Amino acid sequence: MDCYHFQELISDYIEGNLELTTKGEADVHLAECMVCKQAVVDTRKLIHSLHSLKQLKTSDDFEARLMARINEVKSSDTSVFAHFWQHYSRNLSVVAAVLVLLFGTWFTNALINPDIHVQTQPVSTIQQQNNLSGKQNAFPLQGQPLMVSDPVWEDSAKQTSANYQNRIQLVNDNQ
Amino acid sequence: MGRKKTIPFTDEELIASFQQGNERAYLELVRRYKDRLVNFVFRFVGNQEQAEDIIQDTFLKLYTSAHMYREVAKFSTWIYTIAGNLAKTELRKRKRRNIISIHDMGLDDKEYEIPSFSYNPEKDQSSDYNEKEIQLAIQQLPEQFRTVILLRDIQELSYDEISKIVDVPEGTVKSRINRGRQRLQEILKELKI
Repeated sequence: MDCYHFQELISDYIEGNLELTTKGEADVHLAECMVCKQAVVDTRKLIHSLHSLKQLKTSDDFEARLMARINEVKSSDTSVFAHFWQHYSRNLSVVAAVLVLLFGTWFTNALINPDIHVQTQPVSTIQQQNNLSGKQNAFPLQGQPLMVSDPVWEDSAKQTSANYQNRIQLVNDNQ
Repeated sequence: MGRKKTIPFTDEELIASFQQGNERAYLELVRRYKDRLVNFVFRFVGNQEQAEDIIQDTFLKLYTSAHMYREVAKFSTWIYTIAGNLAKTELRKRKRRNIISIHDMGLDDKEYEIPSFSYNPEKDQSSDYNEKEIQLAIQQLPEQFRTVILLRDIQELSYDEISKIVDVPEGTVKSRINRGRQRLQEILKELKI
């Protein structure tokens, strides 16, 4: 062990934190190095001086002054709203942001598609009616909510109507 | 007949009780820590009046922010962190006040930092010369060494606690303490010359 290495470990050596082998190496170095030996003595002296520094005490009126300050804070902050706001302001901000976002989305949709009306009759009722009457399903988008102004539905309705016209023509021809 | 032994509440039990609204628990914590903290902060800032003001702010913060404390850390670690941060803020404020532009004095356009020592030897007649010397030397230590030296050699905290207070690994704390002690000895030697 050289002086540089020992100086790195001097506090651990004094406080007894070194492993046995490292401590052995440090002892060997100390036996032959007067500079490091003196450094150990000086550091021990310094630690002792620091430990024995005069202990200060707070002044006698410390607690009274502290309580006066606390009372000041209390009196300036007693309203229920202030207390509520202090603890829940962050949560309220998040809730408000979510509400604004939801309203904004709904409002934008309403502006873009003003004619959209959702079919009020449940889809299952339409399916039941179709099954009972034994009709071929006239609704290719069965099982999904129907939009009156939906262009896909309109096209398919026109196509279905044309098919019926063709069938009537065929029956008439057969007769 | 044996007398019933009263077991004192731990700091963590007291802060938990204060969080439930028990102000007597708060006062007990103040009594336990006020002198320890004033010693720590005084060695930091070198002025007892200022040290007491900082400790008042620390306890006020404890009062208003007790709900922030979670029992993942020891209470002592938490309160020393608050006091240490307030002391550092005070030192930085003081440093800003003491930076004087030499350019304004017409000598150079470089800024010089005038060291601030508010410790007044005449004010403290009871302490011996070595104590004053040590106090001056501590104040000349760079901040990162000063904090760990104060926590280890004056407050006698464990490496683990210091590591949590200054928020650096334990190995770094050990190395800083080692270098801080060496630097302190150098300063003390310079002061003797």
